[in-house]
Amino acid sequence: MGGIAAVWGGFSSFFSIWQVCLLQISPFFIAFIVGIYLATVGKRADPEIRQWIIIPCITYGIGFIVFYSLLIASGLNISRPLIHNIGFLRVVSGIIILFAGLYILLVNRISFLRKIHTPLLLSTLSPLIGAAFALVYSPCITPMLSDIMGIASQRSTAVEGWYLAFCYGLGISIALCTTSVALILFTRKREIVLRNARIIINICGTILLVLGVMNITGLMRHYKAFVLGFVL
Amino acid sequence: MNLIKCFRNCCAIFSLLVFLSGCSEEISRPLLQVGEKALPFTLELTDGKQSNLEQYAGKGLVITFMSSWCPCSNESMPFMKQAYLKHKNDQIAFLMVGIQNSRSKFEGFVEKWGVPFPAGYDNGDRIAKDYGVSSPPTTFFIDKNGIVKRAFYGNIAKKPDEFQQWIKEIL
Repeated sequence: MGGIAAVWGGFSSFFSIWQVCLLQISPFFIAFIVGIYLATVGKRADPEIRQWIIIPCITYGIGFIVFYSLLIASGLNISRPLIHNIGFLRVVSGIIILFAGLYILLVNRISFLRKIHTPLLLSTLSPLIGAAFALVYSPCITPMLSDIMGIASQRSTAVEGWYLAFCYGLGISIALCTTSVALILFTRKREIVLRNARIIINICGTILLVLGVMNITGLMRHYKAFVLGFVL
Repeated sequence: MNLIKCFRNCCAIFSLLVFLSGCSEEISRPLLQVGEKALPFTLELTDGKQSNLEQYAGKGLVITFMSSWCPCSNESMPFMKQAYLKHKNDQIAFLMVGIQNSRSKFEGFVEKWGVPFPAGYDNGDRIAKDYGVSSPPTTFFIDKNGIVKRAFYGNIAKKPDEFQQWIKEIL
């Protein structure tokens, strides 16, 4: 298996039955991007997509891929502290996601937040959100991920496995970001969306708050058992 | 004034969350490596009995960690049942451990598939953490001396030949 095949594996998993596995993060990431975009519409009439969405998506992807691949490559020494402290890191990630939700909910309500709401801030904070999403995500195993994890979990082949996991994570990130950007491009001029922007922002913020709380309290297992189980 | 009130509310919410975070205790290990000794565990089975590693001394053990919501776990089940029936008279035991799930959903999963071998819910994913299992399904092949001979992530039904080979290794 090569890097390109792994990228394709991650990308295609998003558009297949394996989306069930990604439902731990995909609706929440879309809520984050859509919420941020609509909150920005409240500040500027027509925010430039590249600055406000695409660059934050790319920096998000960097944070996600780095931590995702390290967690998969459990045979690497550098991964061990992450895996050992995953419980604590999930709580911290939950708090970060919670703050992201609060940010979306409050950015148009608190003048200080409105002032600091810039593309630079978003691009700077997005890797943190990406890392938080990678840490809270415990993937179920697609056929390709099965092979990658087999390679990445053993010390003798961990580096090769890490590279493949990196490529696989890249594929997932590309699919996530492409879908989110396409969703925004498709809906941003629709009157129904603009008219209900405030409601949609509140829903997106709340979705992130729920994810944050589920990870802080350990309730994520129930989300997996009931929501993902229902989808399956 | 509003700002102070807002700050107080945030502090109260944050304190509550920190308190609640105590519910999610987790110290995990990286995946158990091939050649390492399997770690002792005690698992409460769905029939109310208890199972522990010592019971399997002198036998090979196939221990599989599964979740009801995971497509691969569901796809693995017919194969695992067949494999159990094929080897039930050999010196090999099968054990299923339910992880990242609610107890009721896991018990429903065991019932749905009519799992013919012992299965139990891993409360708090304690065994999974000891074994370094982060994702379902993960299957370990442990020999009669308690040594991990293989660890496999994913749908074992996709590797029928390897499965037979790994079974031979622990016999």
